[in-house]
Amino acid sequence: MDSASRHDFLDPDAVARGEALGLLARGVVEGYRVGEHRSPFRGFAIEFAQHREYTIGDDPRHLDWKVLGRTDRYYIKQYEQDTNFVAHLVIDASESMNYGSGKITKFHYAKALAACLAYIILGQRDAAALYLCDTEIRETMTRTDNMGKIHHIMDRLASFQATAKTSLAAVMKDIAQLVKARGMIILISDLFDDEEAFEKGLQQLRFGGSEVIVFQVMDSHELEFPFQGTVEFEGFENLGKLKTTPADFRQSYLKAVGAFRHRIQETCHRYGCHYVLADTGQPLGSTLASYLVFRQGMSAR
Amino acid sequence: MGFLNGIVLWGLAAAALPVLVHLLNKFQVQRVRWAAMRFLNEAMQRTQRKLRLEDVLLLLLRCLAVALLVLAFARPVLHWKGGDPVFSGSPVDAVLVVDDSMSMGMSNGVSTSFEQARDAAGKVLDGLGSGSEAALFFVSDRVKKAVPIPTRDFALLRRNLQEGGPGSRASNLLPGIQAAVDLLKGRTGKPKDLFLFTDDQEGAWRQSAEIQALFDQSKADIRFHLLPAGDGMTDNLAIASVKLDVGLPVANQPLRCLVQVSNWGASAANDVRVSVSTDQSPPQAEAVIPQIDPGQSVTASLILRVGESGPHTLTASIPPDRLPADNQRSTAFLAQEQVRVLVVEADPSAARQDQDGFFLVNALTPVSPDQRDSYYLKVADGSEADLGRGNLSQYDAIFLAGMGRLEAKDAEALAAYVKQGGGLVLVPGKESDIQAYNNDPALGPLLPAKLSPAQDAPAKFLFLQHGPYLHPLVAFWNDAENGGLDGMRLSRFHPLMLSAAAPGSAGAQAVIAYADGQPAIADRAVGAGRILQFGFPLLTAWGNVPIHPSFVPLVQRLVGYLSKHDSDELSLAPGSTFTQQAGIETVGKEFSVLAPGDKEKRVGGHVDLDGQNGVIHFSETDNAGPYLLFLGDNPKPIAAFAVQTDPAESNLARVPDETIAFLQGGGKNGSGSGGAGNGSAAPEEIWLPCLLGAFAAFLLELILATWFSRSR
Repeated sequence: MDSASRHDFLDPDAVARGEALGLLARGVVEGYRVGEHRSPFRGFAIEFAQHREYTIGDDPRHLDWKVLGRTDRYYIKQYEQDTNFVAHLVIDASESMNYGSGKITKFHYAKALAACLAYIILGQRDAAALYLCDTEIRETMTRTDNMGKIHHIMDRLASFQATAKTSLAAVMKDIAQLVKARGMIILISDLFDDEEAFEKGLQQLRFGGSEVIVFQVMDSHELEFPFQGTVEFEGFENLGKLKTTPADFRQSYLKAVGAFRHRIQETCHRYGCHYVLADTGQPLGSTLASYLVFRQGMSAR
Repeated sequence: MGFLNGIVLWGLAAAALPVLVHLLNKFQVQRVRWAAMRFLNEAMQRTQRKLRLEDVLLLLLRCLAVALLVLAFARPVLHWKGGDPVFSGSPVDAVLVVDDSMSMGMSNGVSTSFEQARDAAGKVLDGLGSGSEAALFFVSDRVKKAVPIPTRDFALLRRNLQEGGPGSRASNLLPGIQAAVDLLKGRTGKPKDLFLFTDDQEGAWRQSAEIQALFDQSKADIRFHLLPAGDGMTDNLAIASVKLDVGLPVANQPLRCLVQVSNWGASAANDVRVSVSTDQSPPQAEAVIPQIDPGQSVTASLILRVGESGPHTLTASIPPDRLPADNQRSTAFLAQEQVRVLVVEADPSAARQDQDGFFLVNALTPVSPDQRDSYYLKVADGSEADLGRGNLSQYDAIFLAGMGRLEAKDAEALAAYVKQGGGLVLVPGKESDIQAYNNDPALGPLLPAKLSPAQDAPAKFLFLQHGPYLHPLVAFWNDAENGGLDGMRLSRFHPLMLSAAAPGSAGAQAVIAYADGQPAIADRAVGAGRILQFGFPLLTAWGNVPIHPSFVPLVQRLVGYLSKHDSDELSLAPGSTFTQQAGIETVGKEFSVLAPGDKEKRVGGHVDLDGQNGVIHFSETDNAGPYLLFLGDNPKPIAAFAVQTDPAESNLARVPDETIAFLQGGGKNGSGSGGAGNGSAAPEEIWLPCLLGAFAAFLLELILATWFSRSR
């Protein structure tokens, strides 16, 4: 993979707007070093949190000497700890993501979205991990907070080809097991899978305490269904062929898609996840910025 | 159903266009690899059945619209009641027989029966299949073969139909049907159709038995189609006759004119104004008939004068109605400046009052002696010797009073005079040699009756008959207001034995009879002239006839009757040839005619030579009305005559259905009340409904397609 195609994933507009807005963790995250995000752990830092009795093995440097002098008791001063988070970027790499009515496919859009997010995350000194999956996790890149690794991320993204069917439920179960510490899981997929399995997977992800953001990537043709004349649709993932006149049932189709999205959205809300529709017909920068603005607003509240 | 433009029906294949377009669309497939198949399947499963129904409906509507459009361009026609195979599109041989009698001029206020028939005929031509041939006959009481041989040149038929029109003739459909059947029988190879367009006037079917026989003979081979024209109206007021009721029309003398008006309608006609005019000048006299009951005729009497002697026309008029052709009727007469009569006395040497012709001469000039010179009727007294000497042709009538044996040359001169058109009256005398009379070699064979020896009346007196009087000479006395002849009586008389018809002369008839039925006066047409024979002398010793009040009028009328210029001979039936003697000096000269409807004279022909005289023949007499004939530049006409339609033609009563019931199964189209004019009988084009249907189908398809696409 040459550098030119690698850098195709990094949309300058998306990156610029994303950097300006930042991606802050909504809840506490369990980072492994100091960062900008609240940690559930207490440590020794700037902001006082509470006292606890000294036990053998504690560092005597944290003894509160003033309390010792007044009460003759040994207390240890504890402080709030800020940490970084690990964002797990889970990209649906099934065959259905290969559809694209224009120049780019959904998969390409998903890769670009993941790359931009990774760049933003690494840029704010948080860590990112990458998972490319279809029926199972096909490609994994362990967490890194090194901006220098962004090229590796993009290399991985660029080199992966989507060829297999989707089985999000299995993948989400695996991810849930892999993610030990609470962090952020960003799922980028068209979600053309069993809805119940998806809900179950989401449940498992949330059970670990991680924040889950679902980016549903859909092509503008999938959303608008603008076909005319007689069209033979050949399904990805061996779903057979269908010859028909799409104009005859555009309304029915749009209704079905709308209902599907609505159900997905409901599921996400039910489990406290953010649902973001990523229309490949829209510029990536707009989609990302819209979400980050929304997210910022949520955090301010 | 048939099609006037059947070739366009190939365009029905275009009805398959929507199907073709549908199939082409199926073949022009765009292939797409698609991810969201599950939603596609879901949507299709939900709507596919409904979609298929909608698609089939739209497809049918499109096909229907195209098919209707093609049908409209093919100009479909509906057939007559019962469906006739004639418009099946296959070629036929057809003869169109169109009634052009006078009654076809009956108007409903918008169009005449003839115009309706013409329209119907045009529609028939429109409806005949490609390759058909048609002939056109106009029929009244004669057949006019406008297009005698079936032709494919329908434009020729249409032009002839356009130029045709109701004439002045009476109706009789048999000759036309006969001619059409004869023509069709000679045709082979194609179905044969006879179309008859008529107003179904009862008189036209007076030979229905013969027509039925024709129908029965040829119905296996020829299809008959009767297409009634007109609206069935029978109300009609017509002038049935017009004539002068004078013995001899004379210039500057009052002329009585009788105009008979008939009411053929179902309701009484009131205050019918009748006017008469001469020589197409403004009306001279007018009368009002208070009422004419339905089916009745009333005669109006009007007095008029003509200023100059010579030929004149007389036209009577009533206010116009739906059938204007019979609201005028004309006749012609020759007004005399004077009438020359020769009375030959058997015994000129006898005292005047003892002469056999004494009363006769006085009756011929019933004026005082000082007025006789100015009286129009000039009587020349003469003897038997005058017959051989004089030029008899100068006399309008010759009376032989008390004649006995005639010299052979005198008898021959008289016979020649009569044969050339003279009028001869034979009156026996008190001592006539009747055997010589009867057996004269020259006159004997021409006599209307043989005289029997005189005998006394059976009961002292023998009266003349009371009436009715059938002979035109005495018909005047059928009207009681004019007096009567039944008061004339005789104590002695010569019984008459009427002569039978012989070569060159008609049979004799009685002018008037005695009360017991024996003929009293006999009449016989001989050559161009006429001989009347009395069965009694005109002497008071034999009866009161010479002194009876009706004697003078009888003698005056006798002179008029014998005049060769009698108005009845100047009234012709349409199409007859008018013939009149002319001077030898006119032979070869051109004569012109002022005919009815003409504003200017036109050339009528040339005077022909006929023996020692010239003769005018004119046969273009199809139109009813007055005709004036002129010779050279002379503004005064040399002859006048009138053409008169059969008065029965004014009776518009329709033929009863039972009379023409035989046609019901063989192609009578339309009922008696329905005519070609209202379209029920003629093939009716339905391209407009087809076009509207196509438009409606297109519109419905558009609406449904919009509706369906919105719901999809």
